[in-house]
Amino acid sequence: MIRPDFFARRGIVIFARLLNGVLCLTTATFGFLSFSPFAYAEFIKPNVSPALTSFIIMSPWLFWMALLATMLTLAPELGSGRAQRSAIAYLVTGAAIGLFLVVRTPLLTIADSWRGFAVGVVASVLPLWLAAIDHMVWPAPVMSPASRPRALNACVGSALAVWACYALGAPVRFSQVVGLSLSGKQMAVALAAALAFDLFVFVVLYLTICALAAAAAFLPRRSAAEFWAFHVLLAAATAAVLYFLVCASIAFQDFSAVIASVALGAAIAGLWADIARLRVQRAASRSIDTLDAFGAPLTGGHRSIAAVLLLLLPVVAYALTAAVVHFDWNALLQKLGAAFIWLAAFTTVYAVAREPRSAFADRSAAAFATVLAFGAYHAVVWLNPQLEIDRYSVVDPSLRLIRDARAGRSAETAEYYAYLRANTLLPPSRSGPVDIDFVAPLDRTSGARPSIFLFIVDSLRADYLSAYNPHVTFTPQIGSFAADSFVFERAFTRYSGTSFAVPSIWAGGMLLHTLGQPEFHRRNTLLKLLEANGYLRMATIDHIVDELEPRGPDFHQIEKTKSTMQFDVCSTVDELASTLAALQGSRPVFFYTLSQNVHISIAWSRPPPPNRTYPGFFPQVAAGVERLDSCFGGFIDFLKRTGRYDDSIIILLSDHGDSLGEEGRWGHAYVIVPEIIRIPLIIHIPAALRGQMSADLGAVTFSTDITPSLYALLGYRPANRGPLFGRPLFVAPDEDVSWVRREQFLLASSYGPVYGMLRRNSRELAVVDALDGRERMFDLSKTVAGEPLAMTPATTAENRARIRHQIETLAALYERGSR
Amino acid sequence: MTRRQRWQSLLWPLVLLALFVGTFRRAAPTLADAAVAAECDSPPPTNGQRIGAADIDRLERCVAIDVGNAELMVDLGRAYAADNRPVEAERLYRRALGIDPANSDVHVWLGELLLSRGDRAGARREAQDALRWRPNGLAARRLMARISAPADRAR
Repeated sequence: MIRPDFFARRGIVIFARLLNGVLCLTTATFGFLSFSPFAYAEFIKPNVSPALTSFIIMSPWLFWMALLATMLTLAPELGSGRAQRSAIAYLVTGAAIGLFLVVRTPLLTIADSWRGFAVGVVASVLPLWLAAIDHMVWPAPVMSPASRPRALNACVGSALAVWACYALGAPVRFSQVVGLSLSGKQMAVALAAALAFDLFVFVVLYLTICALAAAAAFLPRRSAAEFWAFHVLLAAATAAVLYFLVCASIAFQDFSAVIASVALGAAIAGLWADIARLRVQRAASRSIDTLDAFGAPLTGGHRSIAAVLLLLLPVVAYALTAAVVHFDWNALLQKLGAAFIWLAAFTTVYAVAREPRSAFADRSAAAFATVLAFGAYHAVVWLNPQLEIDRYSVVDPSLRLIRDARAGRSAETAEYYAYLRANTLLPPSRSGPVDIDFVAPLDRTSGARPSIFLFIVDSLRADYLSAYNPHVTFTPQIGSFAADSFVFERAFTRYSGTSFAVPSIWAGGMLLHTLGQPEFHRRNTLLKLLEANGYLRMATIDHIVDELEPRGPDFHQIEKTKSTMQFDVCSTVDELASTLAALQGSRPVFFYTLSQNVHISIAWSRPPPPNRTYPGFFPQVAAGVERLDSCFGGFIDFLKRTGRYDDSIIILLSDHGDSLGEEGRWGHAYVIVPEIIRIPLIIHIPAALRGQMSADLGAVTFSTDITPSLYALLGYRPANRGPLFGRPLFVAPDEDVSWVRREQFLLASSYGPVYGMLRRNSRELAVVDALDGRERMFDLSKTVAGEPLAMTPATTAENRARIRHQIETLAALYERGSR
Repeated sequence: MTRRQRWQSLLWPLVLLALFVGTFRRAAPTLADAAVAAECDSPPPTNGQRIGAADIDRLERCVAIDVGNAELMVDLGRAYAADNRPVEAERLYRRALGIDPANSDVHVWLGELLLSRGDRAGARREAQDALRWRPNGLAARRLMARISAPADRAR
């Protein structure tokens, strides 16, 4: 039998508040993400995280569970007390929201509308409301002003703790990074720079604490004012981190993003203050320092607990990084983890820090620490060990967070980055009704109409195929296919993420950087070719092609029951082969699929077969490629057995490459780096065409060249639409294509204002990253991940001018009202 | 604590904060005066226009500035060949192929140069490399045919 006062116990109340807080914050985050058209289109709609979908389905019942727990803990207040009205109002409102969630299931249907924003705001308010009730119910502890000497000791100690946390894990992290090392001397420089940066940040925190404490001294209830000032600081810092890091990463940068960041920041600080109030109740009889009270959610105001947590901090720091590194494509989660480690380090170190013995020691220590932090930081800035900082920041997210935050921008740089942002992820309404044609008018070809099989393998890297890398031993089938095909040595994607890379293949050129592609049929040059020539189209329907490929009598869907991330080339080709075998008549077939066999989020969860090793390769991905090879080879055998092989065009490529640990990078879509923009491109053409066509295998090629190439292979002469569009890879044997090597090609990130320029027959890549504020150049001629090239103000200015020129050309072509 | 002491306690951290935060960000380089090397960046003449001896001065200047630019080297090699300076042309072609060995056009031009000087084996190697990078390419096939033809006809 549970006693009535069981649910009023402090531990139970804390558990209930945490449950409610986590649920509300998760719901609020989901709401705000849904409201961002970009986040909705890229992460929520394609169901990138099945766990998130499960949460949404279960959310009404989770909400009721949390509300029930809250109701039980508030039960003693419902009869009488200061908080009676507020508690009743909270529970009535909660019940109304709960009923609404069950009956209307809004989270399942909010899509990218204002309702997501409303859900975010409401879910942010609930923890704040509950915190206010708890502050009425639970007595305020007796607090004393924070000790400035202890704060100084804590800040210096926290800098050392954060630095040590990541330094201890560095050897292990470095062993997991591909192609990155530091000599002993470089490591010493990097460690010194990291310590100087951490010290600088924590001395800034110390000065802020001193300023807030001094301001609170002007108020009548000084200690309470201090306590709340620290929570306002937490709310402001959290809101700033959310706005400048998270919202910037998902192209959510308008005033609503400010409101969302402030709402979430306030909710997190409110929950923190609530837990702090509850945890210091045991110590209510004695006075507690305001900073001890602030840190109570972690330490409970106990030195022993704080000491244990401090010892565990390196493990937590390592685990936070290791848990997300493979999915953290722009290091966002690692930076958020570093921000949490800062908070945890400060609260725990403060709890264990002691008072200095004399006031003189206090003042001299403060002066010494301030001068030391300022001097050390500016010494590092003056020496500028950029290489060491860049490399070490791969294993030290704290250093990375500070490095990126200190990216300085001159007026012209700020203007240029603003220009890039203004041309990135535009609303669909900015796209004008532009028709793109390679051949106009487009009649049915008088030549042969071979079947076309277009295999796009999401994230497949060229260096994981034996056709490109002699060290690969696990792709014999694709190797045989390549030996009988055209292998384009210097193939690239124009976009670093699927959402633009795939439409650009269908369009045969670059697109306006919009969220979604309205009226894409006007630019869908591949579909125009297929429709003009009476192809029977077969395809797996992913979330991208879903909006590009119209259904109708000429269309047959393969793998109807699967969603984007479930497409496996093995089951796809099994169904395709049986569909082809049952096909009547001689109508040509076009087939498209976007296989996910080697996508990191899929491959990561599939361990390689037992006793199978892939030395020099990331094993999960290599195992995925091996499986792909076997099934692709099986399909080629099927085509040969059924007499279709010699009459078909078969294209194997990827939409983009992937970072698999190169210099600590993982994933794709956000950044433009060599291993992401390189792709495999292998094309088999019918035997009858081989004698008539020629291809320059050593010239730079793009996935956007496929559609114009298909026009050429069907007997058309596609128009040359300039460097922003594709060109036919197969030309008459005497045609001069040397101009391609001298052309400059624009590249773009799919997720943000990051642009690149590929020049000199793809030997040189220049990148302007307006998201992280970094500009880089790579020499692509030697290694997969490229080698950095030195930059000067002149090369920086040149790269910017080239990129701007091509973006302007693109805007002039596509953008509504620009012509 | 007196009112003055309170103000002192507030002001010193604020002043230091302003100093710390004000000097936190790194200085950004100004690019306004950076010279853009437009002369060397311009694409070479195409569509019937040919690189000639008149381009040699400009191209030599550009190759000296931009030492890794294989395309400029090819252009300069073509200009030398047009100016009947085969030794310099060969040197530039080979430098260009050292950077971009997959350029079938340069293999053909180098092969023609070698054939004109009687180096049939060298010319054959270049023609084979050209065909490897551009299967069925007409220029390489023609070069191969000329290499395979009797010596007097090839001349």
